Amino acid sequence: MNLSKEKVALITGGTRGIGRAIALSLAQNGVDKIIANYLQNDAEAKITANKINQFNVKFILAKANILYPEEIDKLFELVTSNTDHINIFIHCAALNAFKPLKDIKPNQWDLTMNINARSFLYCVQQCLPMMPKGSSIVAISSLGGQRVIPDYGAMGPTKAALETTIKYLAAELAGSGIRVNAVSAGLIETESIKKFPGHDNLIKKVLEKTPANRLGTPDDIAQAVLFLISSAADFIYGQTIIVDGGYSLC
Amino acid sequence: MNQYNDDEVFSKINQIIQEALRVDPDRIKFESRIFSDLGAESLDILDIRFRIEQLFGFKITDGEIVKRIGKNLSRAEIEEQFTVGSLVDFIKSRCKKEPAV
Repeated sequence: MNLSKEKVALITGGTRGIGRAIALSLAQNGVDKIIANYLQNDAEAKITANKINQFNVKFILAKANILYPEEIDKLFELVTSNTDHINIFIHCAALNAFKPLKDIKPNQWDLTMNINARSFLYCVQQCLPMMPKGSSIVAISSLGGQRVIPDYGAMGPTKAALETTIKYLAAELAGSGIRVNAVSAGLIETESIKKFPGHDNLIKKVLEKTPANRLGTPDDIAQAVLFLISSAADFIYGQTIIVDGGYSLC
Repeated sequence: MNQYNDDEVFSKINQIIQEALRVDPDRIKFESRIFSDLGAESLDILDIRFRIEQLFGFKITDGEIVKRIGKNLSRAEIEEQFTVGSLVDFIKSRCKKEPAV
């Protein structure tokens, strides 16, 4: 799949795991400039930069804590100093506390909800004046937004918020020629999977229920994102595409 | 960047911990262990870090606070030695004197 030329993409959480895979996919599929926001782990950000610099793409690292609207403002000062338009906005940034919802403390709720969901909305609002007709927005969600996953109490509601937000935005922005969608990921092999309590047992259980008989990879999610931002998905608005190897069917 | 004395930093840290962990201010003492005495979890530490960055106006790099506590420590040792006092010391070390006017 080759995207049109002169495309600019902004990705939050774009230097590790799924975000890195998406950034690499964009670089391999004709995006000319990628601005990758990240919060922490400079070493991983440099690794991503080195990988993407192998392609003919201008890659800009943008460290900012998008928990805070004022830091999002600063992020967009950097964005506007590098481009006058954004064609693609991908929201991958997420924080989690692996515990039951009944035990989530107010500060943990605020932290996860604001980084996972509120920051998406505020970034979109900042992107809109820079987005020409034909632009596309994709949020990365997860199955916990639609189904109960044990110890996923902090993340699940934030992903549900994200999936509802993309529906409203899709309807509101359709007239401007901007499409908004989401990709809901099943269990994906990333570093964060190791933080899940009893992750070995979890992987075993998920594999038993997954018709595809494997865990997802960051590239699986990146491919779904590539589809949603391409012209092949021109008539898809406000949808959450589940990429889970069929886990949610069983 | 402002230079603060122990009491000023402790007062600000006390406020941050109260807001983040919702613990009674009387429980927050210089020697209080942030994990075992005040009930913090790893996500709370991130929250406290962000609040410190906002309030004191500097960025904390990955693992910087842990490195300040000691090198090659186990998780249990870090949790034991990570006190309100160690956080106060860390912040003082990061705050530099304002230039004289």
